[in-house]
Amino acid sequence: MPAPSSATYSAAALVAAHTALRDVIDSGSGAGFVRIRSAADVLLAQVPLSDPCGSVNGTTGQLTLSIAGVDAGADATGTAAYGEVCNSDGDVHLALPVSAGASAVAGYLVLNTLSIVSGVPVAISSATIG
Amino acid sequence: MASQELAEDFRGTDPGVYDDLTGAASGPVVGLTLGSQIWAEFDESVTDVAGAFRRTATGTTVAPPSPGQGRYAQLTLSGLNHTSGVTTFEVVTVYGVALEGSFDAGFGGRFSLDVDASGNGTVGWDFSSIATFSGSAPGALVTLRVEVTSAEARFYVDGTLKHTKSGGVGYGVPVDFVLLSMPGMFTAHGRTVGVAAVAFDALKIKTETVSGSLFPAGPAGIVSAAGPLGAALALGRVGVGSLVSVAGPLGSARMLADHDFSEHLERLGATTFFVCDLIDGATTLRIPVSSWQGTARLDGSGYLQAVVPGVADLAGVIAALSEAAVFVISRGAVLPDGTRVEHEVARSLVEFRQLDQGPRRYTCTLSGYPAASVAPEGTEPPVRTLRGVRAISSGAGVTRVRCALDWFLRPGCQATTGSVLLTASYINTYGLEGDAYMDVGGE
Repeated sequence: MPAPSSATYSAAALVAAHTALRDVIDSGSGAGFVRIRSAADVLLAQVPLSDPCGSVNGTTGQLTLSIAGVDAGADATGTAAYGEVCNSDGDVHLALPVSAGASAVAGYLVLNTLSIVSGVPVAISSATIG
Repeated sequence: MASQELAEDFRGTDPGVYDDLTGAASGPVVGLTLGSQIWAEFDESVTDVAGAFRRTATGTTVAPPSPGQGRYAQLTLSGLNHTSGVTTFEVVTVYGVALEGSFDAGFGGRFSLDVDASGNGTVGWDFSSIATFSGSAPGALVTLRVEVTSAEARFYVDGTLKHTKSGGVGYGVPVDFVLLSMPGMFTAHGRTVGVAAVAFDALKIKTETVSGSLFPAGPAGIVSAAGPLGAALALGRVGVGSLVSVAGPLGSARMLADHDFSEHLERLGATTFFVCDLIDGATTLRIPVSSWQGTARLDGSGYLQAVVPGVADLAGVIAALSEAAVFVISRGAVLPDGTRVEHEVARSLVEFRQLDQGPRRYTCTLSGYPAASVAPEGTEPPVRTLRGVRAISSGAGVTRVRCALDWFLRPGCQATTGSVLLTASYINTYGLEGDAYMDVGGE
């Protein structure tokens, strides 16, 4: 096998790792969700996940989250600072910073605007891990 | 002349210690004298910034530059000559870092290649952007490779050819330097690699070679990505002892969300306004703006200009701005309960500043040329319904609509009004005292 230029894992390891993450997000009594908060930790929006929360690609190990719907109305007005992926009990299993933009960026929850307005819908169009 | 080669692994000679990039490259070298290749790390002011590309002592990521404050690692070369065949420059780095290099060939010998977190990138030649490209988001590390011959220059990202420029660099000239730059607008650099988090993984330069990577290929079908399972650590002793740390198997999360408050604000009758922020290093100063105009387009640099009124008290600040200073135009709204909402519309480096003083007015015009816009992700671009349409012009297959400002329209989106449906290739926006509108053009 040629020497790798960076750390590498087998597909089996990737599948197992992401399946474990999926299961921990599903560990609550119901479906998990994605929350968006301000820098002061104010809850701005909460988007529901399906239960189970997603599927793991058997070849790449990528976890694609399944979004159950939109947040019909943001909870508060404020500037988004970070996102959280929680189980249904609110336990946070992934936190990630936000960024404004139009394309997904590794390590970020990208919003078309960081300005969240109370009562206005918030939708997540895609969410993957791995 | 025989092939020459230079390598840098950025890890120093002690286990887990990252080179402060001063002095000679770590090597090995072939056909060169070790010690004549000199590293330097510096910022926008060409001030030495030791350790600019490694993590802080307690952090888990590379210390990023302050907003608006770039970081540069330059390897000044001596005795490396572009003589025949292919001269290849290849670096493995976190995304966002640009690989630049310069031949001692006067105008006609400076290249650059960068890719961002989305896989989009730019190819530069002689300080001008000559091509942009798109791709998939890179993993924890991305490999940038530039191959130069006398006939052409080829630019690769992770082994994929992104651009070929006809006309290379004539043989018989030395390579002056290689520059790895981390632009200030980037704030997400770094990767967790245990005790030795670094922005750079490896650099190689080789002359008289053939097309292809200078690094051995990894096994097919195995993915490398950063993740929260933590770093794997392995201590090996092969020659000089080295501590190797790598990312865990959980990959990075990517989420894309949408929040359109346009109709809500319109329904509330919210008052809108524009503000301008001047950002220089860690300092952000909100300044007044009497008018501004901007152009955003897909196929080339945009343009942004803002006029700052009553600038007497700000003239000193503006005159002292660094070359990394940016100005940002945001559109805001005041909700009935007094809450303010602000959304960034455009930003640019302050490339030009012009003071105009008359008997009554003293203004400063800031302007710059931001990079080309990037089309929204996906095969079905968002569709925005244009409002407040003032005029529609069409000809030669291109339609232009003058209308009210749309909060979220950007080049690459589709725009519609009545029977008109176009994909916006450019947007000119005008913010004047008491009026604001945009021209949206496309096919």
